[in-house]
Amino acid sequence: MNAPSTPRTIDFSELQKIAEYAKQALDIIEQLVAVGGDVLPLIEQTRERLQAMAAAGRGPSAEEWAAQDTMKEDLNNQLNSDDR
Amino acid sequence: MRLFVSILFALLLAGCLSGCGALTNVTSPLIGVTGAVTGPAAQRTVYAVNAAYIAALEVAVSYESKPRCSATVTTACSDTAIVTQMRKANATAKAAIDAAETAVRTPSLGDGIIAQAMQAAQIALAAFSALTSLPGVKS
Repeated sequence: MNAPSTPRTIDFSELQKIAEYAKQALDIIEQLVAVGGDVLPLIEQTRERLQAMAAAGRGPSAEEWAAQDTMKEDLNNQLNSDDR
Repeated sequence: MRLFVSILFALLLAGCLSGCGALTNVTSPLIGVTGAVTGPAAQRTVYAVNAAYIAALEVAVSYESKPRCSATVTTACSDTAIVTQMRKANATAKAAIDAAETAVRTPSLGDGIIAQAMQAAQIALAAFSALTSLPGVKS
């Protein structure tokens, strides 16, 4: 008799939820694109980088994560600043 | 312009379908579950979520930078209550997204924690982005 398969911590329905949320995130980008041109360079850059990563079979590099983190911090500081 | 934007978004989506991994991997239970939620595919998904979050932040910052609405300023202005809501939602979204980034960059945390972090990040992003999509905010 075969041994039972190794239990997994995530089942398929959970993964489907993740995929749905990822799709929602992309839908949000579509909404933001409709807002105006400011986010277009970011979207184009992200698309190109994702394609390059996929082609190389890799995830984001430390530098690519750092670039996003810097943008997030700068924008957060701006959003929470009352120096106007 | 709308056609250009539609094409651009389609290209981004196509890029993510091949690049994010999780979107395609989870469509079939025959494909390895672990590979779908850890490693480069999960990292690319969180990278895309980060980009969506940054785009939403751009909209929020643009709105916040307008003069506050008042009795004398009624157009091209930002509502104090909405700015407050956006800041609160952003704090939640940022914490969740940062946690998801940490999770996918720390595979030793395990699939369960990574998946939960990714879900939390995307729920928080959806909530934050809903605010940046309010009439008057995106203009």
